[in-house]
Amino acid sequence: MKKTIFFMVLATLCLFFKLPAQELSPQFSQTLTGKVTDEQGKPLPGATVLLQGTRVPAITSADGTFKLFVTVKSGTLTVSFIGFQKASIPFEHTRTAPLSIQLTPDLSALNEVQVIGYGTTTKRFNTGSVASISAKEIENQPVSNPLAALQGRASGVLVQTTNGLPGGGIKVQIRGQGSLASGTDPLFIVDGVPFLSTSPYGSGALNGANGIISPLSIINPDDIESIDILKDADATAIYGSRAANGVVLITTKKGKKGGDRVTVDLTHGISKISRINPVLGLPYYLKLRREAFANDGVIPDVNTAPDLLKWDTTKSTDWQRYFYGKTAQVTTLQTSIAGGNENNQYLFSLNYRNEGTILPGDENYKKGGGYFNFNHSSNDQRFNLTLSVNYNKDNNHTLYSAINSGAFSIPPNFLVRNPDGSYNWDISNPVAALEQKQRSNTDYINVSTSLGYKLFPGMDAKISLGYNRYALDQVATLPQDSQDPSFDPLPTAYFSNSVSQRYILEPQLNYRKEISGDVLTALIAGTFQHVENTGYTLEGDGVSNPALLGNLGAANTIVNQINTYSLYKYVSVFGRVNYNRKKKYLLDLNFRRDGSSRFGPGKQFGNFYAIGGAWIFTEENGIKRSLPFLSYGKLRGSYGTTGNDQISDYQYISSYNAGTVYGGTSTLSPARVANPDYSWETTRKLEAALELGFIHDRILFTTAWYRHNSSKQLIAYKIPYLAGFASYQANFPAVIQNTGLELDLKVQALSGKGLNWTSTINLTLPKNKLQSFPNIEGSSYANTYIVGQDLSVKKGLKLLGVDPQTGIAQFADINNDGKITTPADLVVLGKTSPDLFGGWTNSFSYKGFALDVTMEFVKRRYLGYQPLLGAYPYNDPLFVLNRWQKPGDVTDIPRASVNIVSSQYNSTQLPDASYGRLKNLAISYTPKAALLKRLGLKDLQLYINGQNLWVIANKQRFDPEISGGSGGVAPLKSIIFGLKTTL
Amino acid sequence: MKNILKYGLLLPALLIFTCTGCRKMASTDLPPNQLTPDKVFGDSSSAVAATANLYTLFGTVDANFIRYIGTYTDELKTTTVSSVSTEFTNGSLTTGNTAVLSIWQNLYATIYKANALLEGIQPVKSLPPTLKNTCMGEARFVRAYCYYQLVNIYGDVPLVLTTAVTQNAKAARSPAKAVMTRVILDLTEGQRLLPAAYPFGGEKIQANRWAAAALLAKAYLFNNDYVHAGAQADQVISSGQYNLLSNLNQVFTANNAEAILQLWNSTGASTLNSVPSSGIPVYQVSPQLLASFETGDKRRTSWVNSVTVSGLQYYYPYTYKQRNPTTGPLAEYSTYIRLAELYLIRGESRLRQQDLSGARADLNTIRQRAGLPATTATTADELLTAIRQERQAELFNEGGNRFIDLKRYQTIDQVLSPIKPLWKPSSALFPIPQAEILNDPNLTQNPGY
Repeated sequence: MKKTIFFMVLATLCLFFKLPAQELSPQFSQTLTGKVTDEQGKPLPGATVLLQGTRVPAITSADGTFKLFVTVKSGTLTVSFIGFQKASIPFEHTRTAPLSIQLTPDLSALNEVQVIGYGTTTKRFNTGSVASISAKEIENQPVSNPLAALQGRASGVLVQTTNGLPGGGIKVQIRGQGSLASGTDPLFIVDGVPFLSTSPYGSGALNGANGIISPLSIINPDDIESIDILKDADATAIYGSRAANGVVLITTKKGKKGGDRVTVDLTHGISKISRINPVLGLPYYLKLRREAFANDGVIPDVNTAPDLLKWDTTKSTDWQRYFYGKTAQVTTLQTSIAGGNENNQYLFSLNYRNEGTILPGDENYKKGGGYFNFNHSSNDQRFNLTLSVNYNKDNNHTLYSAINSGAFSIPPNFLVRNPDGSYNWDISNPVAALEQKQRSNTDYINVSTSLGYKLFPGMDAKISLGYNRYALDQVATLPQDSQDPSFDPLPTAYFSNSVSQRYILEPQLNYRKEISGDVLTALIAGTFQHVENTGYTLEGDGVSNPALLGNLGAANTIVNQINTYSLYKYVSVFGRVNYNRKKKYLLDLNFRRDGSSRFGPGKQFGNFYAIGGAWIFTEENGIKRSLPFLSYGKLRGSYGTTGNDQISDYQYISSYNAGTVYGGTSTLSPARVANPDYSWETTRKLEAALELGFIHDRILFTTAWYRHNSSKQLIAYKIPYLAGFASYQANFPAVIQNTGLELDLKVQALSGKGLNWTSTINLTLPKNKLQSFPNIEGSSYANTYIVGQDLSVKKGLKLLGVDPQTGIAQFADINNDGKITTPADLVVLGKTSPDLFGGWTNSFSYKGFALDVTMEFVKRRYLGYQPLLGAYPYNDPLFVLNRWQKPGDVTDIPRASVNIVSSQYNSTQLPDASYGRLKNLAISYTPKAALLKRLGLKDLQLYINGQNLWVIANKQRFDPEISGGSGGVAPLKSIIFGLKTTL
Repeated sequence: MKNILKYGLLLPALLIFTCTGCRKMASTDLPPNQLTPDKVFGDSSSAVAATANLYTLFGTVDANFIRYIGTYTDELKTTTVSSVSTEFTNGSLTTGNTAVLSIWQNLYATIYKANALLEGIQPVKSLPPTLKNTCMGEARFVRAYCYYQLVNIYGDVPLVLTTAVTQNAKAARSPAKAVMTRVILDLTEGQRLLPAAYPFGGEKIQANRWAAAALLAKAYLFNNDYVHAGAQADQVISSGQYNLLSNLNQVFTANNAEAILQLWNSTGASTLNSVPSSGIPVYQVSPQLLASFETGDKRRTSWVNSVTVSGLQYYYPYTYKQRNPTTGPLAEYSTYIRLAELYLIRGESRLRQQDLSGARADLNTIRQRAGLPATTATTADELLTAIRQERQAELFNEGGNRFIDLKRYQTIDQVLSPIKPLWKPSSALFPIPQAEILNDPNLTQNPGY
């Protein structure tokens, strides 16, 4: 709205002063004096005052005053200052009093506050590469995991759902895979406290039907003010050894000044599976199987073909709809009260989410909790305090094991139960597995507080304290009859408990000094961090009464499966110096020295640094004149180092831990081959970017090029078993290079009283390359990676075609030895990492209506689901209809066969998995102010939000986001209706 | 300006203060569930626990021996149709066979444990000397056991005697002869270090001096060193610690008087050859083994059982009577060496040293226990054939003995070619696992693979 006014005022001013009054009277001269202030009346030093039609400006001094010698009786002064709207002031020679000029802040997106590591800046003065997602963008999306809201929103950030069920995994990868083995998760920081990036699976947590749990799903998206993604060296080096994969800063909402406001936000909606994978219907399935037997001349018997001879060949079930066909109801309630005065502000909110399931049973997901923020500053503004407390809890009732491919691969006529009522186990029975339940409870608390004191003008001391606890408690129950009886199963239950706790203490000193329009800021700080992880999994066997299965006390035998404990300590000193010269030249230096307990004596400490610089060239008078169409132009670049230490603790210590029981007593076993010599993976990041603004920054365009070289790869270095273990932790001198181009365009296409339209596009063109890998041929990676190629390359046999006479797949004999063998005849089929990805958001508003549409698109290939072509009683994707069926058929899908050898064909599958997804659609309506007044409300909004409503992808193939049809549930399609009101 | 100076000085002071503690702040002690080697070997009970751990992988190795070496030779046949198992049945192992890798991997993992124990315990002074000797003796024995098996199965193998990983990861194969020399050295040393009584609780599941002597006898026999083999076997027999049991049904029970070394397994010995309570046994006694029992041999009735399914009779090994995994107290332990074998070793050694009557006496001791009449063999050749035959019937399904014997007598091709379609002379040695060759540039493959 304010922008609209701005443009209107500007337009009016332009009309008004179309003909500048320039009565030439050479004899006349006068000195104009005046003072330039900001909207609060504070002087603005360094502002430019120029008489229209002349070229020599005056610059305001430290107290904001200026003197300008003019030779005209009347005219117009143009006053400009960065961050403020340009003002045009008419004057007459009759006026003798000094001019008083007040500038209004410029609300250009460039002046918005930009969160960076340990501080803030503006987009205009930022020397690093940061992508931000605002609270508004998050609120528009009906997701329960905040990470899901990032999909398609930020360049360079690839977000992929690995399982769409509640609590399911979401993978965030910033600027490509830079590590062979040590994790590619970014560093997540919530209000200054590092957050668990992956499920505590290794320390005992169970994977249920929702796969590997994404711990961030416990955070309520509505409590988030912004998510800022730090990418290049300049932005990330301040996080040193953990920043190689980028940093995701999650900042929660804060209390604001003003009267107490109560907000209630209630939504209700539904979720459904977004895609049913195309598989064969019953007649086609039976035909495929019969054909396989006939082709090979094999007579089916009841063991090899229960589907043809034992089960009812007329009864058909659509298994995907059976397993995933339900519509889940989703209800959320978010209430908050916020308010405060000059010195104290608070925010208190409660959230609740109840989500039904698409699974056939009565599974459900509940999440709820509270958030409290309090800010205080003393009357003299020297002391301030911030406290944020967040507690959330969830209760996830799901299945013990993922149905996975079971949902689409079981034959349409599968016999679930034998005539006697027991489960049928001719093949693995996914219906029986529905009786295996899992309950996961997460308890999450995050407390962060900071105390600041202004020691003297320009110098602030601050201490931040944070504590975070993530506890996952799980019980899985496996009744006896839900398990295949041929393995002599016992009724079993698993009990798992894992707790991850961390505290962090960070003293900081901030210094800021303005020297005649130049600004120097400096930060020096330290970090002390402890992370303690504990976990265990117990297995209770032989419970006689199924009702007591979830009770450990009822088990006959209790087996301790896993019991882990690890302590990770971390200490560092870091600093930053930023110099802003004349608002044109920016220099940013970052340094961090880190010490980590994950490394052995002598290897614990490492130094990380970055240098960043920017030149706002549109502030140069010459360029301003010669490129008048540019309202903003910045060139920036950075170079620096960061590290990655995502490995297990203690790997450098030779130690003994509990071994298998022998002779009835416990034993001690060597835990590992220790290597005291490994250290951080190091990523050197280089970036160059050009930022441009046109038409008063209504069009903003950023192009960034980056190159990240990751070396000293931390891998479980494979050694022959004869050395005692399979591998040991070591740095390996392989280098991975990620380069890419990121394009961001934001266009305020329409703005004014009527229709507003903003369009944002982000596009990433990434390239990944294994730059070097000494002696790869002799290593165990010889068949996985190829030097000079993408890390995601897939090798397979090269399909020459299908013999039209026999229907047998023909492969290229690469080594010409007359035989098709692996690995000798494998060739590179392609890669699965994306060639391109991005998002396109359009936001419209008209009067009280608003519409936001976000499309996400990814261009890439994936490892396709491998058809069995009738070899076993399992269903196949629909595309096998195009298989060879009779002599003369020309196709690239071989004939059906009961012999799985023909499935060598499978490895040749690397189909296109590009997709475009209508990620988000948000429509809202806000009634007119008059109506609100009559209703006694401060605000009211009615809205409909939809997520994953539509996808465009290869219809023959399985969901493109779930790799290879591995069976994970694709992101759910959901639509919710909401009402939000502020009292 | 004054302020800047004041705080400017404060800051470095603060940093110096914090950084003196830095090293501590960035290092952690081991968690309570892990111990460093000096702590493990600085304390008697943890040193004993580390010693017991040396035996924990043998259960898996022994199970693989009985199943796979049983089917690879002429002892067992199986209904399992996996490629792993079919390769053993046909005598056509491939370099990727997972059981071949498992045996290799578990034996070398055990060697690492033994090497780590020897390295860790050597510098320790706080342990009682006898206990320290016992632990070291166990480690020597275990290492020797592993190499004895490795040489038998793979031929030339890398001789790894330290935990130095960078060096071990590039180890090349040592000649079988050199490895056997090491085996004999370790056992001789083990024999010196180990007590006569069974250590650590008295159960026969960890080696004592006589177990070392018994394995030494086997090692000498493998080297065709009959003088020493006979002497070691004689030591054990005349130690007076062991007796042949007259009841054949008790020969495999836990800690029985005949057993010299047994292996403990949490679910009992039966997992090695379990059969469903009803139905066709997965592992069955081969017709060849069945035929090797003479009429009236009580081993045929006590150690082989049968089940009739759909009118067909299936024979299965019945040395161990427990048919299914149990969690209660164990009645049976998997038996690795027992006195009967020592009689047969001494008998064969006597024969090779032209002591025919002594040989006949030892042979008859075993035959008598099996309810058979004294041997009719008179000449040296006849006696040798009789001993071979006796070993087949007495020691079937025990520690891979049959495979070793067939090679020792050089009859392996003659015995196995007719019953295994894909048998080749090179099949007498397993392939070196392909996974190992990939990770160790100096490792070579056996001929024929």
